Amino acid sequence: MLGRYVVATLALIMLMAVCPCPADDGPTGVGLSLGPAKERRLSPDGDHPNHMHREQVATFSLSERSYRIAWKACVDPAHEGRVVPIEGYIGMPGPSSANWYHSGFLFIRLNGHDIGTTPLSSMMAVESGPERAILDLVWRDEAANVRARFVGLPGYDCLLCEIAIEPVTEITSVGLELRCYPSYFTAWNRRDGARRIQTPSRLVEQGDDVTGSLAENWWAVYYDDIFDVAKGEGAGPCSMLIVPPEDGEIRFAPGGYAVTTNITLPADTTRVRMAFWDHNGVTNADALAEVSRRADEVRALLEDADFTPAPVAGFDIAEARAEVQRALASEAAREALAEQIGQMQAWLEAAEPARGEAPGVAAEEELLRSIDIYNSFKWDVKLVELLHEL
Amino acid sequence: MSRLIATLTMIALIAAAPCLLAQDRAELEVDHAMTLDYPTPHTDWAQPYAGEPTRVLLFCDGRGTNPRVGVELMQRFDVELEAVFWARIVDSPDTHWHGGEVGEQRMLDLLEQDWDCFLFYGIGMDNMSSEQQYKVLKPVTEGAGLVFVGVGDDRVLKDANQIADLPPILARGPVGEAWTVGQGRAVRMPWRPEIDYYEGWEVDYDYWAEQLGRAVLWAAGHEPQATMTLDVGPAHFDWNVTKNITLDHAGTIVGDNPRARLRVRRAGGPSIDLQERPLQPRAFTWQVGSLPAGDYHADAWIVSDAGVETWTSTPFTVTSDPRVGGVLLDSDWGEVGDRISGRAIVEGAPGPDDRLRVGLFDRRGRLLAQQTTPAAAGETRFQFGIEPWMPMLVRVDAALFRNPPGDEPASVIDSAYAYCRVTQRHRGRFNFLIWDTPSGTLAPYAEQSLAEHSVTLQLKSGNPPLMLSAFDIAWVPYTTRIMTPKTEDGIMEPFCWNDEAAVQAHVQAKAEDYIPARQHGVFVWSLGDEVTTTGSCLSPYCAEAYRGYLQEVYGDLDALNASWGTDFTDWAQVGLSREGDNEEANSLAEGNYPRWFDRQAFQSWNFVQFCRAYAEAYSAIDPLARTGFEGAGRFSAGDDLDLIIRSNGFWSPYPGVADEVIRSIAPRDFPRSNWMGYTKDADSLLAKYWRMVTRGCDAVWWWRWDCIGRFHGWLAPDLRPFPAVAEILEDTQFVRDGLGDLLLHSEMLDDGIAMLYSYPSTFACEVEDGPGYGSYESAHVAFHNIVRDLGYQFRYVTDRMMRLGEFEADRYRLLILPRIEALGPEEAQVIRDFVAGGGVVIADVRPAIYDGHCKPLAQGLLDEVFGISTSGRAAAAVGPAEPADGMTLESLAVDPTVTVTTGVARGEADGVPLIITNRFGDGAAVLLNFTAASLPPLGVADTPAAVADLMLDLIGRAGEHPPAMRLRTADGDRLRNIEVTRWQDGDIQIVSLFRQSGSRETATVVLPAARHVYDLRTGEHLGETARFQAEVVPCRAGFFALTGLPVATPDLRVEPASPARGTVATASISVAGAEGLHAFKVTARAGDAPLDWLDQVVIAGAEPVEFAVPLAYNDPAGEYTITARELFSRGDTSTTVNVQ
Repeated sequence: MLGRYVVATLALIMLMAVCPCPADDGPTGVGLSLGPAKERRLSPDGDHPNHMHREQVATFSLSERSYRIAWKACVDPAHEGRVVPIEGYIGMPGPSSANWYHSGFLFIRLNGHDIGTTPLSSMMAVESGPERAILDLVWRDEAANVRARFVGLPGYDCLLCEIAIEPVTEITSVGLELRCYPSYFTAWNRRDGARRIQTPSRLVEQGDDVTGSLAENWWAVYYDDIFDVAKGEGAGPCSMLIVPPEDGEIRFAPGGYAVTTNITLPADTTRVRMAFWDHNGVTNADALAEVSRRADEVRALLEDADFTPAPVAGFDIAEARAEVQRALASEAAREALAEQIGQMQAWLEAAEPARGEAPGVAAEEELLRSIDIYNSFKWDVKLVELLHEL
Repeated sequence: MSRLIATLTMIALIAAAPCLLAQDRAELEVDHAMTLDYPTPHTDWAQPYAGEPTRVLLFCDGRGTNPRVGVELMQRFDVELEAVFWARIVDSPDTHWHGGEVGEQRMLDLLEQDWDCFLFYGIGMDNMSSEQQYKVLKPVTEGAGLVFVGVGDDRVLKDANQIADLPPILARGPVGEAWTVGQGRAVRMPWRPEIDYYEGWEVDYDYWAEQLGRAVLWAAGHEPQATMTLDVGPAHFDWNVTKNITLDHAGTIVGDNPRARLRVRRAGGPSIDLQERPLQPRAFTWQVGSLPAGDYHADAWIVSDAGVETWTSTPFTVTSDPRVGGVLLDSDWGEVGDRISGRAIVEGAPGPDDRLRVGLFDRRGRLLAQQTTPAAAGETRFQFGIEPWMPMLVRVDAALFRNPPGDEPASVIDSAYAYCRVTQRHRGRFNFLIWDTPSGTLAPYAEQSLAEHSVTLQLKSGNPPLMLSAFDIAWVPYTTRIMTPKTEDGIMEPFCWNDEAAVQAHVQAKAEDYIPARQHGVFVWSLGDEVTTTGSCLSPYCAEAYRGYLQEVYGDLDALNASWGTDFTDWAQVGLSREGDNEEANSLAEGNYPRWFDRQAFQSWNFVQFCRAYAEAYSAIDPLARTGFEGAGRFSAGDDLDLIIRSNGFWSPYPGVADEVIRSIAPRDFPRSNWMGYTKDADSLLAKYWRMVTRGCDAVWWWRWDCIGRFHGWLAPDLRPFPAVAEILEDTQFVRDGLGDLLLHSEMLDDGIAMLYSYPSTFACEVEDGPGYGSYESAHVAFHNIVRDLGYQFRYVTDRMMRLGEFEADRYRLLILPRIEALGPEEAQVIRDFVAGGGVVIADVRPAIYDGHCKPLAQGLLDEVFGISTSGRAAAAVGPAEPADGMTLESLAVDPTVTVTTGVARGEADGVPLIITNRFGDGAAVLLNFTAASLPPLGVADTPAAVADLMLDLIGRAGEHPPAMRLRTADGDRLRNIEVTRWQDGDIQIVSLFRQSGSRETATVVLPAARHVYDLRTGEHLGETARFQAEVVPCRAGFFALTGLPVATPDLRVEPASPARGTVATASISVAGAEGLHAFKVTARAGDAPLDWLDQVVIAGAEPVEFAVPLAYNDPAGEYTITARELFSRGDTSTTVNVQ
């Protein structure tokens, strides 16, 4: 397990080494902070009068810009175990408030049903450090366990995304919807824009409604001809890139305000990888040039990289067992941490993963939680022993 | 040097932040920075130190003055320090390690470094994870130090490891208890003392800080290699005997050339440095002569070329007979013109030549006034007048002197004092207000930093602490917060606003509670922020009040019945349409808009009456009280803006359209401002600041003095201004150098353009098809932008002003009616008369289609004026339109019911006329039969120039009234997205150019005629010209003065030319032939030393304006230079006086 992680990491580092880095000083790391979940009462006048709304935001600090990923929904008990996204549930409030929509830019639909109404099982910053940062959002939907994993890498000004689907029932359709407001909230500000979408194969203009193959339209730059940084207006374009399955389909419908993109994937899809850019402060021309120049490289990265979080990849069950045995041998630890030791023992007995297989969505979520507890436990033991020796 | 490196590293880290791990991390470094940028008085106990520097990691609460302890430690000892803050999350009851996960990672990164000592100040390790605790304790067990202040940890400080015999460095004082922790050392100190503001408080703190330093150095293993003792014998001396203080030492001296130093001092008293001596290998004695009675410390150091080798401090007491038993003031406060009087008590037997001097001292120790009499046992009365120039805190000090040669007493025997506050309100000047006051032992330092960084007012619940008087800061008491909680029965809690007895009992008790605030000096009395500004309830009191209100509004019952469609025969029958429907939602639903509107209007009126009850109670204790509220009230949210302004003493809403109404109709002395401080970058903050200035505010209000996290306080945790604040201070310095005050003496111009605020229209726009035309507020904002984008200014008038005959028709050439859908007959007549008399009216859609109570009208009240007829009310028709030949707009919201009668139509949308002009009497009326808010904004680049030309033609009346100045781009086009605000100051005009957001741009300003132009930001005289270049910088207003003549050199005089100390010289400034008022920043120097007590703004014109130069008895004699710097030209004019 560890060996595979080392190889994957080395491959990633090598890839990064050959990639041109936007900063002169080279990549220096990725920060990831996950804020606390915040709850507030909604207005008495809206569709969810006085309901409880929850929102949690994570911030990736890349070398050039900070991406923010938000999950939000009405979580009021009135919805009887379900949650209700107001405008969406996976939002991107930054780098700019325009572009990928802050209140919902990514929608995942299984069997025609949006997983956004399923309560979020967990939102965890599962890795952060000089090599990369990973944020996981996991849903235990009735159709599948679903994980949206966002990955930030040093030297990259885009945010990578892996959607993993672990079917619970038969999946007959898999769809994604993307929503953005390229560069500027036009109608909100009573301005008219000129929305454009450039893909490897076509230019889609505002008012068009076109469907094409994903293989021929595997990246897209969403921009606005009026609101161009070069003209002193707007925030700059946004883009997406997807590793296309063989027979995926994509539909672009750029309206005058919101721009929606619908992606239809094969029903047996269990993993899809994407990249999102918010070219905040970048001109249309520069963003178009940048994406077309780097698309192949980013696609290769998405196809090859191992996004297993370091705590999972590096987890050594033998070492954990030894640690618990060591704790059991310590009188001080036995006395102070009896309950935790028992929990650790029970977990380790039950938790041995199948050899050679990556854990599934639910299992990995559990494993990450347990590793977190285990890591705390290790420090608990060390602290107890240190205090005991005084 | 090491601190310099640390500081440079931090700056580099911040500068490089975007390329490093995280922007949030960079901000955390700014928040946690422990800089020496704001030095305070301190003793260099071991700074520089002959021993090793000590690296300290401080853990403390990041709020308030707690973090400053780190800076105080660094100032006194050779300590390099980083901090980790525990903090409350803004707008939440939750606390966390500041920065959340990023903050905790920062902590872990810091814990990877080598530290000599971990200092837990007021917080323990409870909130740390096991990993974090381990990473603190592991290095301690290996030899690092651990100091707990006010907290402890029994797991770490085990009884078995406590050190019974404290080492000498800890025993003196004593500092606290000591333990071994593995190879390391730990100290547990009691929590810091609570030191209030008093004379010499900082000296008492200095000794506590010295104890903390000893704890840290010992714990770190960095204690001095040498020890020393001071023997002061019995430690009690008579004041006039010789006191022997003997120094002895032992141990190792590290550096060369060791010397011994001795200092004797007491809090609030003299500090005497005795002559330094070469260190002897044996004990030796200093002798100290007479000292005033009091509690002293003898402080001694051995210093070598390597730094401080060791030090010690020993207390002793000096007593006297006779002595001063106290100072008893008749009143501990007074207004200017009152008297400071009282009795000084002398006990014991004064000598025949002993004298008693009662003196008034300021915070700086300047003796402002004195009365000296032969000393006699018992009471001696004294009395002084309170002069306008006196500071807000005066120390009334009674001192006994012996053998006075002449008027100059020689030896103080004993003294005592009492504080007297001088009430000052700080009105009539441009202020800066801060929410909250610092607390804790170091609060006076925070307060001093606030005062030195522009703060003149503070707001908080309760009464002001004494230190505010010391720093001359007036008070805004946050006396209550008006909200509308109700019982299940719909009765307001805790009492109905109209329950007269309960209200009176409440407000009078409140006023009693705030008497100390009144004595201090209250700028304005606050009824709270984010209050509920409308309200009523279902109590009988409210029902009665409602009937009374309606009687006043309608006069007779028939009128009410006609309006409501009711048939009441007695006022007693009048009430709610449905029981329990406090909001009259039923009437709204049924389309009985008058009955609904009247209830809404009553609720605004009712709130105002409740405010007045407070105002009357506060006026009873403070005749000059001004009472109002802040951070609440909105333009179109049910608030009757005109009524609020008429009835309250002040109002500071959040930024919005209400500001425009306040600046227009409130008297100039009506305090107004906005709250700001809700972002962290200088640009966005400056945009708020300058918007306040250009909206005629008389102050800037900032939330709050300290804050980390979501917002930033004015001061950072180490008490320096945050970097963005420092930038704000620099950018706005010329406001404090006179612009702020000068604008209060100038009149903001309006170009003869009035805009009507109609209270019922705020409601009318919300009924039937109204919302489809956009909001009432958006129509006003659209017209503001049109007027401003074309280079004009405007002023609001209100419907109530029209009803009360206060509308000055002669003053205006143009009246704009944005969505004035509801209008009473009196107001309509005023408008008719205005147009008939030659005025011009411009309205957008649906003028006067409801009456003044929102009752739908069959025919618009102003249809005749506009030359139109309406065929009922209908939804907005939104679509393409052609308002003028060749101009097609994609989307205008048009009223399709309008047809032309006598008017002349221009443009059309689907057959509906768009612009109708009608001659009416000697004037004209223009109806824009589309919402102003649907017109493309003139300020943005893609709006066709023809749209601006069209509106300019209408507002400028075909060039008859061009804008007062034109702004051009480099290409010669109209400069967009710019606000031009002009103030008239006599014949001088002050002009601001303000772009709230956008890009930087160079503008060419074209004047109708050549004027002398002064750039107030630079002080540059751009010459006499009709055209000049101006740099438009987003978020930062530029200011220019336009004068007919070059700014003349002022006449600055001081009389007499050789004033004696202890007298008040009179200075005057005038500008011969001045065209208006000028602002002068007056400063003074004695030789090369600046005199911070004379630093004020004086506004003067052709007539001399006098100001006082109070010379203290203990000021230095010699030549003083008084300088007045003129705001426009930045020219200095100085005069000298020879102080005797």
